[in-house]
Amino acid sequence: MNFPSPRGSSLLISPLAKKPREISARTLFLLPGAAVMIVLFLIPLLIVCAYSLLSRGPYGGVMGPWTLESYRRVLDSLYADILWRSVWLASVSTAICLVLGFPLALFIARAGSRKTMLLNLVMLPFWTSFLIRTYAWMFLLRDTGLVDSALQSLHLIREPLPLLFNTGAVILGLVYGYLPFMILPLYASLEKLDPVLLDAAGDLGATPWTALWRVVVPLTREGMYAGSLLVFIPCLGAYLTPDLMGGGKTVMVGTLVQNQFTAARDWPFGAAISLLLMALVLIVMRVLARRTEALL
Amino acid sequence: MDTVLELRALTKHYPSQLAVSDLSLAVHRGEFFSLLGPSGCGKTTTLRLIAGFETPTSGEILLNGRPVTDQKPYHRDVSTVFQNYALFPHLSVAQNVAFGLARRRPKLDRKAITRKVEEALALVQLTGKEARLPNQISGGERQRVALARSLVLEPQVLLLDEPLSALDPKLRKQMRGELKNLQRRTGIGFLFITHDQEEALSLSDRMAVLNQGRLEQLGTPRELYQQPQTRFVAGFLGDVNWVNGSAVRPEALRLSRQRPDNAAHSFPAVVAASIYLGNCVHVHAVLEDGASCVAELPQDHSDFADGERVHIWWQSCDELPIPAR
Repeated sequence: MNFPSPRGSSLLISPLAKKPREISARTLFLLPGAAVMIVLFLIPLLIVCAYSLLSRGPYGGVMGPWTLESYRRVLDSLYADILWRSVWLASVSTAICLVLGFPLALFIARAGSRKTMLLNLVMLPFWTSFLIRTYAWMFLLRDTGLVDSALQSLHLIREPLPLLFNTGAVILGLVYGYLPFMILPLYASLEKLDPVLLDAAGDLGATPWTALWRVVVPLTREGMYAGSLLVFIPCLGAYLTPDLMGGGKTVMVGTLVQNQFTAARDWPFGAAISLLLMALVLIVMRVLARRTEALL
Repeated sequence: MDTVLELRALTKHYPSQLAVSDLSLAVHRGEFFSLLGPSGCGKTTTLRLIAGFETPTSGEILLNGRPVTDQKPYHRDVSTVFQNYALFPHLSVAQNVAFGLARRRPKLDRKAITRKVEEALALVQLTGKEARLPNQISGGERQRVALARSLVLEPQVLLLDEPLSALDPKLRKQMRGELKNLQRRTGIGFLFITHDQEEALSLSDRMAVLNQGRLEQLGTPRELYQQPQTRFVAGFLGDVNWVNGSAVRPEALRLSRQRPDNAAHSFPAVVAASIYLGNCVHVHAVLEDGASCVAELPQDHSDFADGERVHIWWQSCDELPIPAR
């Protein structure tokens, strides 16, 4: 057995042993995280900033001189349209998530002892890769997929319905993918809501519907903002879903960025769009953050 | 007397327990009525049944003679002051008080609502705090907002669920007085739920003692304290000494050094301890059969040393009329 010597342990405790220039435990613990953020986030971000201000190289890459040309081009109507469409699709998907997620979250928050089980079910899809789940949707929705062939074999339709490769499919994919991010913060705020407030509302003459609008909704507004942020931001930058389920037809801004770095070989333009997208997200966050100060 | 609220054989079963059992009672118009009992006696369940938050297993609730047992809470003309007030944290004091008024059908116009809110806040002395949020006012003020929010609706009966229990002792005494005052001024029937016998005794016109979901006894505070019909009521409303098969309140017991001539009941005892309580002294004595008892004596008649031989005695009229054990 190797016990620490008494002398050693007393040295550890003794105030005399303290060096004036010690690195505090706090700094020590923060260091790895800070290093990761600097190397993997801050430096790449600066590189992207630099790229966006340079000119395109002949086979991809970047070269001099410094220019604002890429930013000017984003304002072209074609690209502005794509940006606008992305905002629109992300907003619609967020709204649908909110409408679907609220009753679900309310149900879970009131489910008593089955709460944990239901929450686990909400998170169950995360056990499988998002890519695989998106392919599963494609198998369901394509012309020879389960839905169309089932409807055809029941003689309900003659021709396959156009279920895949359109805007509707993209919205479906986005809502499917991000609904849990809406449900969880909504659940958290609904769970905190004191049920006696609903008794009080009913007692004062409010029907359940009025109580919902006058008491539940105002008191869970923070959860709604949080959920909306968590859904809207990834939807806005979504790449996989519009690319696979939209079939490249419904171009969202994420696909556009990807194109610039691959097929179009215009890295500065791709970088400029990414940064504008980030700016857009930050603006949305600021607007919502003002309403949910406790949250962010 | 005009009955405003009547419970007929009200019963509520939960899967695991019987919460209220065959409870029948009537609250008169303009009366301060208390339901007193230990926690778990079914008093809060009774209140929730009357308010409509729970449905009884059997029995009937009548408001002004009309059965309301199947009415939703938002249709019942009763109002509740909750234990922790249940103020809406996102609404100001004035908006909280206006909440019920705004739900009134036919609709009240805005002016009428504003006027009623002002009156209600004046009634509970909260004028000037209209714009505050519930978390910006003190506990006592929250209590008043909850009262104003219910009183402004002028309900047939106001249900109060241990409304004073969340306040500190000094404030509790003060609010007790105000509560009684409010009840007198508004003339609304109060059904007051409490586990504090002092509150019930001091506030009530009549009161009912509940135990394990059953009604033990109903009457005026004086009747219940002086003529308890069950051991439980006697013990819950105050201390009881059992001396030689008789039940006597500590304040009815007397101590003297000589054997009293005129006392109907007198027993020798030894003083065990004297406890000074400021306004009185509790003298503990042990009888010859080993039973102990407590006498509550005024200060100037409490000069007994520990171990001193004394006689304890009382008059027949001070005995509680409950069966001996």
